[in-house]
Formats: sequence, C-alpha cells, structure tokens
Amino acid sequence: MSKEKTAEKRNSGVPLLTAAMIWLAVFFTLYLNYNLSLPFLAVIVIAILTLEKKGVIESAYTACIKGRKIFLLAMLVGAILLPLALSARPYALHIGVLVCIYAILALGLNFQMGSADMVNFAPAAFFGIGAYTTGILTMNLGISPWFGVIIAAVVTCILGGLVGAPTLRTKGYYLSLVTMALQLIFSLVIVNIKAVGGPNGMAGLPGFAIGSFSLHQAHDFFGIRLPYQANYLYLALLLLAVLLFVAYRVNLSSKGLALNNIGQDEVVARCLGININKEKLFAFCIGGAFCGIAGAFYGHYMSFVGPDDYDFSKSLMIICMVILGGMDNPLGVTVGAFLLIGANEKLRDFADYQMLIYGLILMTALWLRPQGLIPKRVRNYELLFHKKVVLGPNKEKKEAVLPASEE
Amino acid sequence: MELLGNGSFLIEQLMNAIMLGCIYTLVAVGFSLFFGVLDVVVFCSGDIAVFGTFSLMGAYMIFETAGLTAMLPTPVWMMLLMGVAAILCAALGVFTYLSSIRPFEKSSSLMPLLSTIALGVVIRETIGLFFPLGRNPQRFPRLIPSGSFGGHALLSYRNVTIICVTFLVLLAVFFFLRKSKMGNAMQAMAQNKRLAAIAGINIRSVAITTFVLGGLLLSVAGFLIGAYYGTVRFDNGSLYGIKGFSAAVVGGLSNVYGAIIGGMLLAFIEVFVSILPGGAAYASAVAFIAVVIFMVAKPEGILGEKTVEKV
Amino acid sequence: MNRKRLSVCLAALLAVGTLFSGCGKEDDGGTPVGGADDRPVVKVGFMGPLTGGNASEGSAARNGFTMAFDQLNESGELPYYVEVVAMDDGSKPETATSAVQRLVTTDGIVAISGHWNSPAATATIPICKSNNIPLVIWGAIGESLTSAENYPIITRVCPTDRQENVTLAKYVLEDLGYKNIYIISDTTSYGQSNTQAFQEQMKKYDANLIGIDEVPDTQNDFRAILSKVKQAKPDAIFFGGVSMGGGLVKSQMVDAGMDDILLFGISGICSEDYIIAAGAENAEGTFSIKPGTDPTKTEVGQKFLADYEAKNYSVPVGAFTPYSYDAAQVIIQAMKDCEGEITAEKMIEKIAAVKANGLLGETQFDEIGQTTNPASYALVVQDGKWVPWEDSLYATGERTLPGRK
Repeated sequence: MSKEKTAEKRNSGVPLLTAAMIWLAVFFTLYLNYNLSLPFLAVIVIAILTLEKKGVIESAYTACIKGRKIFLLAMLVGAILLPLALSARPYALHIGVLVCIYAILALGLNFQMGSADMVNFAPAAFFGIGAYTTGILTMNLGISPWFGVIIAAVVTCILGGLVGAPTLRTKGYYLSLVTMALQLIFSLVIVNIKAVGGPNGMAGLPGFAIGSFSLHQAHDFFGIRLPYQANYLYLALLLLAVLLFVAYRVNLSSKGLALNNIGQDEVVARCLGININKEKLFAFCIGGAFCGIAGAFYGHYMSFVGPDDYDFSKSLMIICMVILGGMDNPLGVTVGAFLLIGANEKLRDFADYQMLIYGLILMTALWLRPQGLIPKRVRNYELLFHKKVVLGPNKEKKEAVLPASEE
Repeated sequence: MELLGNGSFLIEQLMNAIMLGCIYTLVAVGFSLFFGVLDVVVFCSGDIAVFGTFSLMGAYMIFETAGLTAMLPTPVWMMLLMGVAAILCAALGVFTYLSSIRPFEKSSSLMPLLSTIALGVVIRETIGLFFPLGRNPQRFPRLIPSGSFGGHALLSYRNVTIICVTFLVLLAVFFFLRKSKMGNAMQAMAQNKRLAAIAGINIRSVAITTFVLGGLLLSVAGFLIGAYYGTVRFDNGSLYGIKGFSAAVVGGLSNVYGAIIGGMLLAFIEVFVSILPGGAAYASAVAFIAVVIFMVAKPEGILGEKTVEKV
Repeated sequence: MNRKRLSVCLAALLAVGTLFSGCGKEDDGGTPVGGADDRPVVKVGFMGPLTGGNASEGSAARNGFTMAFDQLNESGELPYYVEVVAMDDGSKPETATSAVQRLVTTDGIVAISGHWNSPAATATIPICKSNNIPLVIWGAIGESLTSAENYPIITRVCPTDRQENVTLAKYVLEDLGYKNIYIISDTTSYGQSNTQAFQEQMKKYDANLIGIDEVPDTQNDFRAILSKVKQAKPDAIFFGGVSMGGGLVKSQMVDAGMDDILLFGISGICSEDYIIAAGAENAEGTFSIKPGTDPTKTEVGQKFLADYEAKNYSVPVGAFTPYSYDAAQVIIQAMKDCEGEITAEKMIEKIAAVKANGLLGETQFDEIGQTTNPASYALVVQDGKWVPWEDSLYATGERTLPGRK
C-alpha cells in the first residue's frame, strides 16, 4: 500500500516540476536582458540535449501523461501567471505572442512535413492568405475580427485542398518545387493587386474585442497595469493550447498513423488500404487552416497586412522550426518555434552579422542533431487512453507490446 | 505596336532570351549534375555562382593594385583571373559537399536541401560582410572589350563570347561525362550507387569530383553573370538559385540535357511575357506558373525518365 | 530517481536564470553606439534596414545619425550624454514592429528616428503613437505617413513622393521640355507611389505617357523591357526605383544602343551606388534631383562630408544619409529647447515646434508634421559624378542631354 502511495505522489510531483521548469525557461528567456538570453537559450538547448540523451525527458513525458490532470492544471496556472510576470516588458510580451503564432504555423506545416514527409515550401503564403482574407473582410465589410479568423481558416483550408490536389501527382523534390513556385507566385502577384494595397499593404485592421473589452488597449488587473500585448498573449496561448490539442489528437488518431505510413512508404501504405489521396489532401487542408488561423490572428494583432511579411524566407524559417524542434512531434515543433523566434529576436543586436549567425546556427544544428531537439515519440496508447493494446488473437499473452517506459 | 512587322525587334528579343537562357542553363546544369550523381538538391548553387563573380572581382582588384594587369599581356592575366575564380569556386563546391552533403548521407533527403539553403545564407552574408563595401552594388570589371562584329549591336563581342563560352563549357561537360573514365564512373553512380560501389568505383572521390566539376561550371556561370549585367549584388545568388533550380526541374532534374531545355524555356517565357504591355510585373510569376503546370502535367520533366514503381 | 533529477535541473535552471538576470543591467537596449561618460544618459532610437537588400542605404543613414550625436556628445553642449540605440527594421513591417517594441520599452528613450521603407513606417507609427514617443521619419516617402491624426508625434524631415515628383516634373517636363515619357518602376511601395505621383504631374504638364512597366525589385534583367521601350521611341524614361535597379537599367540602355533617351528619376537613384551600378561611363547624362540644398556648396555640408569621410565607415554616404543627419539635428535642437529635463512628452512638443539648422537648410514642420523645406536642386551625372545642374557642362550648353532637341 505504501508503494502505491509513493507512486501516486511521484505522479503528482514530476508533472508539477516539469510544468514549473517549462514556464521558468520561457519566462527567463523572454524576461532576460538581450545580451544574456542568447547564452541562456544555449543553456536550454544543451539541457534539452543532455536530458533527452539520459532519457529524463522520456520519463518526464510519461509521468506527465500519467498525471496529466495535475500537469495541465500547472500549465494553466503558468499560462495565467506569465503575462502578469512580464507586464513590465511589453517587448517580451510581444515576443511571446510571436512565438505562439509561429508555433501554430509550425504545427500546421508539421502535418505535411513532419507526418507525411511532404515538404511544403509555402506555409508563409497560407499565413499571408489568412491575414489578407480577414483584412479584406474586416476592412471592407466591417465584420467582426472573430468571424474574420474563422472565415480565414475556412478559406485557407479550401485553398490548402486546391493546392494539395494538383500536387498529389508529384512527389519528393517535385512537390517541394511546386509549393516553392506557389510561394513565389504569391509574393510576386500580391504586390500587383491594388485592391489589397499592393506593396503598401493594408493598415488599420481592427483589434479583437470581447464586447466592450478591447484587446488593443491596456487594462488594469488587480492593480497591475497590463499592456495590450498581454491581452494578446493570453489569447495566443489559448489558441496555441487548443490547436496543440487538435494536433495531438490528429497525431494519435488513425489519420496520424496513416500519414506516417505514407511518409515512410507510399506503396506499402497503398497496400494497407490507405486512401493516399484522401489522407494527403487532409494534411494540406488542416495544415492550411492552421496557417490561416495564425495569419488572421497575426493580422489583427499587428493591425497591418503587407506583402513583405509573407515571403519565401518566412517559409524557410517555418520549415527550420519544424526540423530543429523535431519532426512529427507537436511538442517538438513548438519548442523549435520558441527557440528560433527567441534566437532571431536576440540576434537583432548583431545587426550586420544577424543573418550570418542565423545561417551558421542552422547548419550546426542540422549537423549535430538532424532528428531535431525533441524527436518523435513512439505513441503509447496504453498510457494515454488506459486501454490495453491487444495484438493478435491470444489476448492473455500478448498484452501491452508497446514499450513501457518508466524505470 | 508592330510586334511582328519589324523583324529586328523580334530578333532582338530572341537574343535577349538566349542570353538569359545561357545563364539559367549553366546554373541549371550545375543543379542537375549534383542531383544526377548524388541525388541531392544543392540549393546554394546560385550563391556559389555569385561567389565566383565576386572572387573574379576581388582577384581583379588585387591584380590591379599589384600592377599585374599592366605588367602581363591581357590573355595571360585573364587566364590567371579565371583560374583563381575557378579554383575558389571548386574549393567552395568541395566545402559544400563536406559540410552539407556528406554528413547527411544516411538521413532523409530533406537534410541536404535545408543545410545547403543555410550554407547559401552563410555564403551570401560572408560576401556582404567581408568583401570591401560588399553590401553595395558592385561593378564588374570590363573583361570583354566593347564593340561588335560587323558593327551590329546584337553581335557585340560580349554576346558572342557568352554564347560561345556557354556552348564550349557544356560541350566539355558532355565529353567529360561521356568519354572520360571519371565521367563514366559518375554516370554509373547516377544509375545505381550500390552497384557502382560493388564494381569498384570509389564513391567518395567520384562525389568530390562531381562537386569540383560543379564548382568549375558555376564559376563560369558567375563570370557570365558579371559580364552580362555588369553589376552584381551580394544577394543576387538566391535569385539565380531559384531560377536555375526551376529550370533544372522543368528539364527533368537528373538529366543534364534537360537542364538546357529547361533553362532556355524559362528564359523565353520570361522575355516574351515582358514584351506584353504591363507584363513585366508578371514575367517571373508567369514563369513560375508554367513551372507549376509543368510539374503537375509532366512531373518527371521534359527529358526525365518516367519511373514506374514496382512492388 | 527522476524526481530528484528533475528537481536538480529545476534548481539549476533557477540558479542560472537568476544569475543571468542578476548580473544584467535593467535596460533592454539594442546595440548602444558610442561610450558613456559621467553625464546623465538619455537615449534616442534609430531604425532602418541594416540587413537585406537595402542594407547599404540603411547603414549609411545610421552612420550619419550616429555621427551627429557623437559630435554633440563631444561638444558637450548638452548636460546629457546621448546614446543612440540602432535597430534593424529589415525593410519589413514585422521586423520593424519588433524593433519599435523594443525601442519604446527601452528606459530613457526620448525620441526615435526611423525607416526607409513606407510599409515598415506604416506598421510602427501606431506603436509610437500609443506609447507617446516621437518618431522623426528620415527616409520613408509614402505620402500618408504624415497626417493630421499622426501629428505631432510623427514628423518627417524628407519630402514625400509627391513633393519630389512635383519638383522633378517641373524640371524635366517644363524647363527641359521633354514630352514623351516611358515609366519603369519597381513593384515596391516606393516604386509604385512614384509612378502614381509622376503620372499626376504628367497630366498637369500635358506630357504623353508612352507606356508603364513595373518590375519586381529583385530582377536584374531589363533588356526585354528596354527593347520594347526602344520600339516605342520615347524621349525619356522615368525610373521610379532605387540605385541598383536604376543603374542596371541605364547600363542595359547603353548596351541596347539607346543613347538618345534620357533616364531620370527622383532622389532614390541620386547616389554613388547608382554610378557604380551603371558603370561610370554608362551613367553619363542621368538626370535626378535631391531635396534640400547642395551639401558641397554649404559650409555645414562640406564639413559633414569631410567628417563622414574621416570616420572611415564601411559604407559611403547614401542618397538619404543627409536626411538621417538632419533628423538627428532636429532631435538635438529639440533637446536643447527642452532646457532641463528631457522627456518623451516634452520632446513631442519641442520637435513639432522645432527650427533646426541642418545640412539641407532650416527644417520646420507644418501642421501635419511634414518638413516645410522642400527646396530641391537638380543634378546630372557628368564624368562619373553627380554634378549640380547649374555647374554642369549640360547647363552651359557644352554637352546636351540625351534626347533633347
């Protein structure tokens, strides 16, 4: 009996500690002085690498899934506290919002690139289409930004399907080139469309508002004055949490498995009775929708939509986030977005050397860790759904074949 | 406008397209050489070419300050100049292989693509930072004398040189691939790596030779870019990279001959869309749309072989 | 075991974090330029393209801006030490937004000067307004940036696209009498707003528009367009873009044998870079204007050029460097006018009412924050140099501009 109790205790302790560590790391990276947070980011990367190597992350992962109620509660508390703790630094809050937006983009791309190994070079185009869609709707038709986001998601979802349909015929590099060409076409054409402001873009998109509570103004909470970025950080964290949940559910569902299968070997997937075209289209649609949501949110946050923000280099950056974070691991790509946006903002101090250092970091990262910081995990359904995984007809002998992880 | 009525107008545009096509072709041949032999997309090819342009300019500056241009006869220092640029580009090619291709031999094909993109950024920024006034536009020295054959503007020494150089370089590449032992080894490797290794081909040295050859080819492309436009900027490489890659894919990535057709096709589309009133803004866009249509309708490219998947 | 290990990690993280935050100073500044002495410090921000294709223009402007404050600090005219915090806007709205967010939250920032690209300025203006930090625009020429709503927080020392084109049109269409114009511009906001503004002027002077072509600003090849232009036989080509593109157009015009067509444009092409890009021998006879007064003719101007030279910066003076220098002069004068404590609120008021003597003459702002100093002078390329029109051999009639009858 005492053994059970300690097990229970451990189940609540590790998730709590993990959540605390995650939020502390986030807080310090954002809060720290700019010349110090780069070394701090490096410390985080090294810590992740060592912990991953020693299997600590794996066991923390398992423990968090086991005690997921406590873990999620702790994460929620952290999410509420973070903007409050950063309230004195609007710039740090701004970076926080950017991290969330890019994490959503990376999650969207992950469906195609991480799960199904289809490298889409046009996430920034979807990002832009989302922003432009809501921009046109809210500026010209005066609809609410909330509907703007929803419609942007629908539009980019449909466009994802339209882009996906012809690319079904292509594979590998050819698929990459088609999406690359689409990205370039988007950038070249959007500056020529006068209706959306051409190269000047559209300024003055309305901010989000809940009733009379405008997210674009500073508000007082319990005596702390929160700059308007804090409102957006709350919203962005909420959005990220929801979409992260969706991404995980998809990843664990039969769709996720099918996409993995397609990514590894299409012929085998076909033999297993997977409808390849349907699954690939699904990946494009849901990925497009994610990018569209991020774009619409971004447009309203910045109150500005212009062609310069959605170019090819932006797509490359999103791709790098997925690779650096860890392909096919929603958590990993979120970490990737966090690290790259963090590093990018901090590197701004190097002005002339910024891009050079960025390129060097990328090369070293690929060189040292091609599988990403937090590589994909074996799906542990037994742990997740408290269901015994049964393989084969003999139920008694072959239970729980998937690796049990702790100790 | 008298589009067809005036013969010289069309011929002039044809010439424009051919010249542009020459440059795209050389970069595209670089792409397909790398892809054909090693199955990798070396995305920094455009940057290697521009690096070639800059190393020519740098060498010229050094030669001039050292007084070599005045001391030696023109053909001699010209050859020396080309030699320096060619060696530097070949070295960069080998560096590309060692830093961005070889470490990823066993991982997904995506890795070399990304790491060469990153290397492209590094090359570009290094030029911008360490070349004197590297971020400003640079004037390429006039290496080809001005003037023309028979006083015809279209047959200027420069245009003729560019076409001849492209032709000769391509011819040399084909002879090398067809006739030399190393070229045959490359082709063997392109067809089946494992079998080539079993047949006693040293895969490493073939790979390095491929990159030396590619670097040489791209240094010529760099020379042509400098000579044709007269002005380069450190970030021009990404443009030629994307155009060259598109051309290579249209032609069928692994096929060196296809790259020529692809390069010319892309250039012709661009030039002839530019002729239309107000079309210039859409020239690149139309070229890329053509690439997309092509990819979807004929994914294996013009000369690529159709691969039938066998189970 | 795991819990122990995790606790150790947590403790380590906390320790490292506090260590880092403990030894860091409180300010969030970017790259501080220059050193400090024992005077109290105030900061001014600078934003411009320090990376990417426009990096040379932005870096030169930063140098001019910083130099003005270096001179101020050395002279000791102010009881403060002024520190310049320079940030990259990468010519992009998103990067600019991050930059301005950082600047407005930097302790001790009293004024910001920024931007060469109008979209970047469009994105940062609301942030400066909501934080009550004055923004003096040094290089973005989009007309809508200064307006009654943005005044007095947003002011601009350089002319708008319209102002420049009005002067240019008067020179070229009226004084020089060119009639048939072909317009080539890039598809950036700079190019397109130029095209629009010049077209309006052409209607006023009753000039003929032969054709318009807009080209992506990454494009190097203008030959196909130029062959088309040659066919249309205009007297002159208006180029609405910047140095690199302009230089390429001019050198390719020479290649195509279009010696009898004038190339002209507003100050975007009026720099050394243009002559380098075109090649000195090809650039001959290009016509352009520069707002302000000719720095080589005034004492301040000569001193500025000599000082810039002496600093050995890695980029030469650009077309907009005098403006960034003058933006600095406006801020310096406003600081002096503050007489005592310098705060952002006071600076807004003082900048709006400023009368600053700079490189381009006296700068004052009108009721929407636009400089009232639109004085421009014309230049022409002669023997590989931009020469003021009055002093050139073209004005005396020894040489004739291409295409002039």
